[in-house]
Amino acid sequence: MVVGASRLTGSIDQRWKPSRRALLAGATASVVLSGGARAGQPFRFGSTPVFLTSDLQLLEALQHYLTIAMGVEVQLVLKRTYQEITSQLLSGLLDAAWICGFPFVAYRRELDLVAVPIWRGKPSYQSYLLVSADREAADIADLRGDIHAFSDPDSNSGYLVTRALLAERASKPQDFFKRTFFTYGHRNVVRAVAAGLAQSGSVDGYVWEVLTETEPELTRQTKVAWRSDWMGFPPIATSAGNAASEAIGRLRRALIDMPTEQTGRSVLSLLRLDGFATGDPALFDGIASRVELVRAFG
Amino acid sequence: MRRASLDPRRWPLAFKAPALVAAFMLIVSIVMTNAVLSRLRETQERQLAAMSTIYLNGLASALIPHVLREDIWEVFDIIERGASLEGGFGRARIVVVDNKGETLAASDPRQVPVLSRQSGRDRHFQGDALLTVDSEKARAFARRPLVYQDRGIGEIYVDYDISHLLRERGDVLRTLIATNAAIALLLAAFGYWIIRRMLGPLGTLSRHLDLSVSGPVQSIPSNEIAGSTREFRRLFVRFNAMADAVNEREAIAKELANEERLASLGRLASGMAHEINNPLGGLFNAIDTLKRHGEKPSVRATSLNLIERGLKGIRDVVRSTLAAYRADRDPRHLASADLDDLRLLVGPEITRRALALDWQNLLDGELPIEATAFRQVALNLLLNAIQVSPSGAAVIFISAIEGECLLLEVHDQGPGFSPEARAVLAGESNRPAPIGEGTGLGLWVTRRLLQDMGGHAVIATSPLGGAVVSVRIPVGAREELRDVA
Repeated sequence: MVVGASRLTGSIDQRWKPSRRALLAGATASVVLSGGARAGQPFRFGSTPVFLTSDLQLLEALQHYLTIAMGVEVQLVLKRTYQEITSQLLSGLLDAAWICGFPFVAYRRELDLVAVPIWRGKPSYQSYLLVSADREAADIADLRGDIHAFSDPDSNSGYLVTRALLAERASKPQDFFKRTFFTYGHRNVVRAVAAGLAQSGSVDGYVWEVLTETEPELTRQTKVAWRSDWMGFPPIATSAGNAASEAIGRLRRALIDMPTEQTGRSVLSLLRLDGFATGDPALFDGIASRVELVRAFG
Repeated sequence: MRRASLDPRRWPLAFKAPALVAAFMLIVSIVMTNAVLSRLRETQERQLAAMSTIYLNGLASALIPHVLREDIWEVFDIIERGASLEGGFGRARIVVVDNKGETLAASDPRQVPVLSRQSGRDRHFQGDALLTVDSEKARAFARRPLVYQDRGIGEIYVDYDISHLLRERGDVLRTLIATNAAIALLLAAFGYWIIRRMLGPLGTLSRHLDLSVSGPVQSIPSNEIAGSTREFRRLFVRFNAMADAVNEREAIAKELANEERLASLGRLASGMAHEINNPLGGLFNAIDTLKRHGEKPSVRATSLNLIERGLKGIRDVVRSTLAAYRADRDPRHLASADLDDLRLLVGPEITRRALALDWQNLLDGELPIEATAFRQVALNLLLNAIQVSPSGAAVIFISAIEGECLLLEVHDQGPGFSPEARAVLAGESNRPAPIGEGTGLGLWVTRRLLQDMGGHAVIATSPLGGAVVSVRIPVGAREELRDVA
């Protein structure tokens, strides 16, 4: 997962700087080639919109940094949903993508880890249950019968965690809540709860914390009712077959070296991240156990 | 304007005309204001309807795919961004419902929660109306069905803040009232000024007429005539012609009155000469007797007595004549004796015409009435009665105090007054009776003297068979004037 211009690309399937050539090239590549050995083609990096009104600036900076640091042209591809990103990654349309821990665990065999972001010194984050600021709630039991906003069906923090929490109580969202809907963006969950459209929402703790700095007037209307335990931060992943390629090596190097370079530091400061680490797939065991729990419950 | 100010028919023109103009302007401005405001309202509502249609069409085309999928977030995202309107409409309140009437999303979800049903949603609309305006709440309500492939999948409800439209109407109303009031005031002031200017000559005319009551009629000066409009110039010229004629007639009348006075004086003089002449024969006889038998005491005493009585008679006649014609230079109060003098004055005429004079002077002492004028009135009436009475008839003279008035009655057995003479004496006619009848001018003079004294004359039929003239003069009415004189 990363970073997206919710205003700019908010809802529609839209490529970042799409060009016919790139589309054709991508489509052809997916059929002809299975790996990342596409000499002369731009490196395609996928993401979904995450937050922030400054996404445009962030994306420009990220693309600029990666292009320089990797020494190849990098193309950022924004999709509305994790599903689109994951499927394009699996099908080879994307060389790498910032995805969520949930699809990474779900497609563990097809995907390989490139790097994991470090936030507040750790490669992990939490999921929050949000309610409006004037409401008293400390547990998911208090949210029964709500209209509940999820972020994305393929999001760990914005869906899976809450679903697993309900599964532990032998319940399902559609039964527990009066109504649920997906906003396809963590920031949108915050907006929905703040506006009163939803009475509660499942949101990425990292996004909410960053928003308290960048848009305090928005988060002030909400409060955190419950925090999950710490889980692996949404990683940068690539398809398993591509993992050993030189381009992925360069990407990993560029990500890990980010704090050492001026543009890289400005990207990190926009993301409020400390940097990237190689990461251990075991980080995502907590998510994997939730996937198991949900699957077992049905 | 003073006492009759409640009756608009009596209001002065200078006020009435501007008031009419102002009233007319008021009516015009009410009609105009109504017309302008209703046109403004129509225009505003037409524009609002057009705006609303365009707005809702845009909103609907964006919403339909998401309503089909019941995508609460996307519906909310669209209407939240679409709720801010340009052009003073402020923030619209938008609610999108599905085909079951449940709220999918609203621009203010706290007011209209998701999945809620608002029973009163359609209460603003009559029949199939898509837009209604509620001026009291300053809001306009609009709705638009969401139709996809001929199937109703939901509905959009919007209410707009239209207070700026109402404010605009208020501004227009205030501007109209202020403008119309200013125009009405201006026109009224102008009307007042112009009417005053137009009626100016009438004021001149009325002033000159007022002056003529207390004295001779004064002509309007030529510079004032030259400065007026054509219509008034003609009026002024005629007025001046009339003034000249009236003044001339007044002068003639005065002259005639003098002549009449002289004529009656002449008659009196001849009567007086007769009166003096009568004892004269006796006196000469007495003187003769004295010459011849003056040595006899009895004869001398008788003769001297006779002479004394004769001279006394002559002295009385001379005195009363002097009293009568000592005239206006010496106004004094009326004394009972003044009237008795008259009896002496008319005595010869009575004798000459063999009339019987019944003299009832019931006055006692002095009265605050101008003696000369009253004596002239009494004398004229007496002479008139004597003149019309047939030989051997009776004339009654009565003077007495009746309440606050001095009453004077003269009865005769004549043929009565002619209508002209009656009109002259009773004050119904301003013209002297035709000259030549002898009494006409005398009566007219009597009338004028009576007017001066504040009295009036009434003519009735006397118990004697002829006419009776009753004159009443308020006692003391002229005292003030007299004291000043």
